[in-house]
Amino acid sequence: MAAGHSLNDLELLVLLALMRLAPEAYGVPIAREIETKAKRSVALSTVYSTLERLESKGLVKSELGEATEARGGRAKRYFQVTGLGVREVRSTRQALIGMWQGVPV
Amino acid sequence: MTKIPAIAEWLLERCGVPQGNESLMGDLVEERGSGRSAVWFWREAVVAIADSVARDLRDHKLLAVRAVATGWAVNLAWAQVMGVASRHELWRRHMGLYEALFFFTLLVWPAITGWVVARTHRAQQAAMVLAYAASVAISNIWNLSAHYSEMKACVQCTPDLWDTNLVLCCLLVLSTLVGGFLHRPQRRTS
Repeated sequence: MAAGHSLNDLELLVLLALMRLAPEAYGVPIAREIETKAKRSVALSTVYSTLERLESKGLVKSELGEATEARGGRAKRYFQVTGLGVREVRSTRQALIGMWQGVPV
Repeated sequence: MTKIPAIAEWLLERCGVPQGNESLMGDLVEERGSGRSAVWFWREAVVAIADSVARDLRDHKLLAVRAVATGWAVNLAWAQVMGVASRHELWRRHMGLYEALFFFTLLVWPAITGWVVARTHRAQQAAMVLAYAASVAISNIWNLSAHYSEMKACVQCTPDLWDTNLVLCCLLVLSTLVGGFLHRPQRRTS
């Protein structure tokens, strides 16, 4: 793989959700996007641990938003895909397209 | 403003979930406020706790071994003290005192042991206390089944208080967990 990482299916879904939701991507909408578009129910903590892993690989970056009353005074953490993350998604897409070719389904 | 149940917040805090992850706690509050059910909330909370504990155990295997060893070392030290104390003349004269010490050993000492394990592994205390409590539970199951097999094989023995022993073993594990979770965890930086 070009960028040297390998994405599992949940990492790929989270990265795609981030790209769709930018720049308003945080835990709740990411989980909802995956649920709506990929028809896959995913726990918020699973989304966060995936994001943490992606951030440690340098594929996403995050920044804290403002704390709101509706969230019990806790701030949102907004996530964004980095250039490396975009390259990784493209590379995974190419790999998947390559593997699908000639598969009789 | 929607508030999450105090017990859930306490459990999440003790299990190290919000440490460095206030955003997850905020998301849970936000979703609960937007009409998600209590069942949804508790499922999310349990998954978050399990996720946090599993990650700590996976990332700190040696620390888990140390936590189990620490707990058993503390237990062994107390067993030595009890061994010496039980031979003392004082206990024969004051049976009430001896019984009090027995119940202390059974119910309070495991809590102290759990607390010591938590105290000595503050950054990953929930995972370490659970690892030690699991070792206590396994040891109890092993001892109980061995004891039960002996009792079954022995024709002359009177039937043992199997249920009572089982309850006492469960109390021992529960006491360990209570002691461990009473300790306030160290805040992690993320």
